Amino acid sequence: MASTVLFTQKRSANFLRYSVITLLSVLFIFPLIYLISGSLMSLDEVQVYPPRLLPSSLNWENFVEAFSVMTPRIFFNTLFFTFGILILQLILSFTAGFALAKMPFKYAALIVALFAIPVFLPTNISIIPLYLVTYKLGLLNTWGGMILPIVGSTAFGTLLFRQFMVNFPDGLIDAARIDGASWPRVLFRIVLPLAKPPIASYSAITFLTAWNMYIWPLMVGSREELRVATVQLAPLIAGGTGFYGKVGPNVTYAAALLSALPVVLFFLWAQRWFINAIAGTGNDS
Amino acid sequence: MQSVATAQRVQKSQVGQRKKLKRNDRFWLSIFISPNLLMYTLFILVPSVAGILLSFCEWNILGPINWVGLENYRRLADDELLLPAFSRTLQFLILGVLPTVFGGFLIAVLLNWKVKGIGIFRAMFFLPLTISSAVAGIAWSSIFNPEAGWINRILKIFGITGPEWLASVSWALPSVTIIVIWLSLPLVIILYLAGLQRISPEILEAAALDGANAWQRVWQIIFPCVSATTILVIAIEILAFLSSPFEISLLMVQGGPLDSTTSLAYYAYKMAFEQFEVGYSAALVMVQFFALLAVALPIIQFRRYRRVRGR
Repeated sequence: MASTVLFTQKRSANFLRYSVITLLSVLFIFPLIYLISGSLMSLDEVQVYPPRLLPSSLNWENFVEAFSVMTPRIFFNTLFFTFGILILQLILSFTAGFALAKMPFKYAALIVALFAIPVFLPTNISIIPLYLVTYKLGLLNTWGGMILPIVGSTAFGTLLFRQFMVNFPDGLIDAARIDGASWPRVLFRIVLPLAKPPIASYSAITFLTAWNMYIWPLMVGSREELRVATVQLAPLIAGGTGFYGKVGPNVTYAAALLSALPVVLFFLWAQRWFINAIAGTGNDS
Repeated sequence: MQSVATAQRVQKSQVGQRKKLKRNDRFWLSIFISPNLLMYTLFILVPSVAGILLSFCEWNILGPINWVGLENYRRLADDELLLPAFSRTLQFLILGVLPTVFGGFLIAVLLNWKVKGIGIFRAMFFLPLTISSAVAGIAWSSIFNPEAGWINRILKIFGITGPEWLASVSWALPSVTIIVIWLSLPLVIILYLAGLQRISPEILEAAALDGANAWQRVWQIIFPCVSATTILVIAIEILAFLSSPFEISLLMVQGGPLDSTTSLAYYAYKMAFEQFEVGYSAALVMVQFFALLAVALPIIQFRRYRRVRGR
């Protein structure tokens, strides 16, 4: 008798918890649900009052028109920007992380401390001087100016890879060294194949950050040959004025979805690596 | 016994030998480290130091750089726009950090549940992590639209006439804060979920969510167990709410209406790129840096204290 009561109590508690989670999660992503819904409405429907929740018919042609905003060129630029940063920074941080962990030298601790500085600096302390450095190097409005200054923020990657290398078994490296393997060979043939987890975590985080970056590409590369998705979309934001650019809100929503789609799909596919990367930062502390 | 000691000594000397790098090793060491260090120095360390030095100079980007000593800092005292901007930065922090931290904790507790289909709900809460500020700006400007937006539509059902949100001088700052909270929550939830996973099952069982006083037990039993995560999350969110409102405000309302979302960071940006007063802009950034230091030092001290005490 008592156990039945307990059982029903537990069941109703579970039901309550389930309901709360469902309600909260739908409310939480409502802005995105409406973005999808609105992207399929006709221009009249999306501007009607009171607002509609679902489109009466699916206007897929909005997405065709959205490609005039999110042109192939813009997609290419965003991909080039993102992968340029991802790959260059990966090479720099992976090699340096290895050296700092496995090639003992006098200043290793000092350099590690140097890389910990940005943790305490808000990004906007250096963004204006960074712009000036880029200007002095003659890199404004070039791919070099877009990518290289961001590649320079190697602190996160270097410390991440160093942490992984510190825990990497010395025996494997020593054995290869005794067999006469050179340092690059040790790094690329022995360490690299076993370093997939930190590389995946690093790539997930960096891909996301770079794809969504706005202020730096706006400052350095706003002309069309360099323009990335965020910079292209920014003028379409209604903001407080309710003024839209040359396309209607429905097409704007469709363009926003097109720009977000690669990251969202990549995230859903590689969710585990994102979570590991982020949760890992928490573990170190 | 002695032989063990000898063996240890031999091992130690071998380790000592391994620690000495040959010339060939030093060559590869510099190949591995120098490019990284060069880029890091050029694009992070130099700009940071330059930022500090520029705060003692006067420069309009085109002309020469003049050293003016503490002039920029003296000017801060007479700047009538400084205090409002500083207060808006504080408002962003106060309105934003605590709801993000506590809300993120509660959602993580709800999601920390081994039941079928929970992965879908988690993914839904993680989703804004992948959304750029630009896309968030587009999505939220339709939600906040005073006439056709959903928030005011729903408020109207309850007989409330909603404010003008982003178009209103008094509501624009809270609106921007809400968007930044929305963008920040996924990270907080992920960190708390990781933290919750490290609590022993017995403790969680004792704090089982069903039955009476679940609410109290969450705060009295579970919350203290993740205090290390809480401190980390507060630090991350303080940094986030110092910089993210600037980006959202720049995208959506350009610091307006009537400067009502112009934070200190935004004010410094305007000073450099609209008024071309690079030196004074740098001084403004330093104000924020010192304010941050004043907040951060006690937190760092507290963590060290806890570490010494063994949590």
